[in-house]
Amino acid sequence: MADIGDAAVQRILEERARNMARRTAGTAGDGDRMTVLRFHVGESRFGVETRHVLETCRMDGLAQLPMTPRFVHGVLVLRGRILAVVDLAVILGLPVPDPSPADQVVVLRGGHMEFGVRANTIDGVADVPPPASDASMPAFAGRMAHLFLGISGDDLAILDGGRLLAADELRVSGPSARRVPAAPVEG
Amino acid sequence: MTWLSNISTRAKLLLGFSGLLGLLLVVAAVAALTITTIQETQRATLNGRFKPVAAILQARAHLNHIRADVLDLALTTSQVEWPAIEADIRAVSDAFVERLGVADTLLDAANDTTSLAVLAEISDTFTAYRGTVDDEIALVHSGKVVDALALANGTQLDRLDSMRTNLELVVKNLQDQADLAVLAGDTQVTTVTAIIAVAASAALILMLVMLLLLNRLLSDPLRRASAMLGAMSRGDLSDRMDMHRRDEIGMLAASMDALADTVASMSTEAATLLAAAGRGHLSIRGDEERFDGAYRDIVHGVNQTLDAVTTPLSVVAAHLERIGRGEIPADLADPLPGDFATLQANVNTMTAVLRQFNRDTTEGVSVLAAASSEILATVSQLAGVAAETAASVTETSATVEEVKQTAQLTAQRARDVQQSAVLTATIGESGRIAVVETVEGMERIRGQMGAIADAIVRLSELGISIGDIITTVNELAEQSNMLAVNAAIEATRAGEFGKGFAVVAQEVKSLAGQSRQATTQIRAILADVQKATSAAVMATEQGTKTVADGARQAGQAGDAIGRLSHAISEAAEAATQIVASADQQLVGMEQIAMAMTAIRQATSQNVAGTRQLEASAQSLSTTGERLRSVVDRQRVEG
Repeated sequence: MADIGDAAVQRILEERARNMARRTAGTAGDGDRMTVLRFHVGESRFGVETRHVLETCRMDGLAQLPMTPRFVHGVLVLRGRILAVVDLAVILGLPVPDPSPADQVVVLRGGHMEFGVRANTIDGVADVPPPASDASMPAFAGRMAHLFLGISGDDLAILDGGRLLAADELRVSGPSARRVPAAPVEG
Repeated sequence: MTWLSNISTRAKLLLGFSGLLGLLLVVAAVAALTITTIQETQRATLNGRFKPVAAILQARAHLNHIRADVLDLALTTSQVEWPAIEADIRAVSDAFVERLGVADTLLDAANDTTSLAVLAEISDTFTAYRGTVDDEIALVHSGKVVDALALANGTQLDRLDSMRTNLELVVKNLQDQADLAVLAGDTQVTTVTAIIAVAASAALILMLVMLLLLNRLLSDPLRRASAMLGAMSRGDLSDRMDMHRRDEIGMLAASMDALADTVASMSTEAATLLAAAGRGHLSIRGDEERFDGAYRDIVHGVNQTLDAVTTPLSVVAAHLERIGRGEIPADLADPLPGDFATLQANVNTMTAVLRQFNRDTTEGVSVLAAASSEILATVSQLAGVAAETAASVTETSATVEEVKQTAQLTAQRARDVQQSAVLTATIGESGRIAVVETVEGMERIRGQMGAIADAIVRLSELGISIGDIITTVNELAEQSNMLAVNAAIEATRAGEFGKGFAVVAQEVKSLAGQSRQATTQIRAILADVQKATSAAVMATEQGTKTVADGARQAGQAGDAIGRLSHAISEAAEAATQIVASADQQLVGMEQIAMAMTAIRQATSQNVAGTRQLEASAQSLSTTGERLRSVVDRQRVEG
């Protein structure tokens, strides 16, 4: 890497400049694109709007909680805060991937809620066309279809971040659970 | 005591019990006599003493009654009562007389003259008294009461006192006599008691004496007899009773001694017979005349048994004696009794075997004669063959000369071989030196291979370090990727102002991805390198082993060449020895030629020996003929 050479540096910089110029041109006047964070859970691909995403982090120091619903993957300490992590595969009834050291967490935040979603890989931030209003829901959505905005492009299931953060199904409290109210934690 | 031993046991028992019975009878008689005497004494005392006393006392009461009635009559004024009183006086007076009579009768029976005399005096006095009482009654009737009273208190009172005194005298006398009788009875009882005690003691002593005598005379001999029979049953015949008494015990002892004598002599006789039989003297017999009854039968039976044994034995002995004299007699025809049948069968079998042996011998002698004739013929042939042998020996001598020529040629060839072997030994030595150098070269190669193996192992360790570094780099790329994602999220949050930052974040993410790919490639290359290293290590080990094998094989080749060189040296020595041997062989062949000449001479002598052999065979044939005549002379029966 050390000996790229001045000419090569120059060429890379020029290419970047062109890319930046093209993207700016593309976004000019766009009301029909949305910025999402793309990630994988098992074989399924998901996207969530970056405005609901606080950050991503590695699944370091996860502690499993006893007496909690199966969709609560566990809790971890993130910069002094306790963060509950849920598993979308459990919620959606998908095949649950085995825990791996490469697992990462997408930290969602909205209103008073803050929790993490388990991701096997995080693909990065991308601008995608928003799903059409009549867009079909993902095949695996089932009774959780209200948590999705629809499918964008090539099988990217766009999650509705706001509803996900406000979903009563993910709230663990009250007498119905008869368990320690561990997640999500009101922020 | 001898007389006591001689009387019979029954008499002894009768004598003892009779004595006891006599004593008992004496005691009973004394007791009965004494009881009778006492009874009579008591009766005499009752009749002669107590009854008279009672009558006298009653009479005395009557006297007082009469005086009271007289006084009553004199003092009673009422004349009406006089007759009754007078009647009473008369009745009482009669009663007095009657009582006195009773006493007199009893005393008379008791023969008490003293008392009778007193009674007679009383009787006389009362007669006078009674007459005076009648006078008094008459005075009273005549009214002269005072006179009557004076009479009563005068004469009459004296008479009354006299009678009373006499009556008391009699009573006193009778009482004394009764006391004397009682005393006499006591004395008698004491005497009888003493007599009975003495008799009982005598009976007891007599019984003890009888018991001792019976024990000595009956039990002791019986115990001895029992002991002797026990000893006899255990085989001890020496004990004897030795008791000379004429009673049953004595007879029993004599019978037992006789039995013991008989059994002892039987035992002695049997021992004598058995000892003789044990020494083989079966001709000795037991003396039957010495015994009677069943014992004689036993001795007779033993003698018969011995006869039954000796008779068959003498038959067999005679038969064997004939065989000993050289005869072969006919079989024993008369059957021998019992177990001797086996002996007879064995003797007959032996005779048959002898007969067969004789027949076989006869045949053998015939064969021997024929064979000696044949030997004679064969020896004649042998003489011919010996002559032929002499001719063959001459031919062999010629052949030996030819062999000698061949041996000379062999010696020459052996010298050539020896020279070739020396040359070969020199070549072998130079080959061994070359191999030693090869082995040293192989050792050097093995050392170099070891150095190569160490270098490759170090290379492998370095590869592991590189792997660690790659892991770290990969970790860094992962972190960079995540930071780029977070930066992109932050950039979107900044809206339009963050667009440029988003591009930078994208670039960082892209670089992180490239880093990850590069590490993946490096890891793949490193894996290839590690594989190649492992293969090189294995190849090196293989090479080391191959070099070791080569060194070992070169060593083995060196040893083989060394052994070969040694063998060639030995071959050269052997060739030298062969040369020497060939020379010696040549000498030997000449000696053989000389020996053949000697053999030829010996063959000539052999022919002469064969002639002598022929003469010996002739002599053997003659001996066979003579043997046949000997066998023919043996007599054979049956």
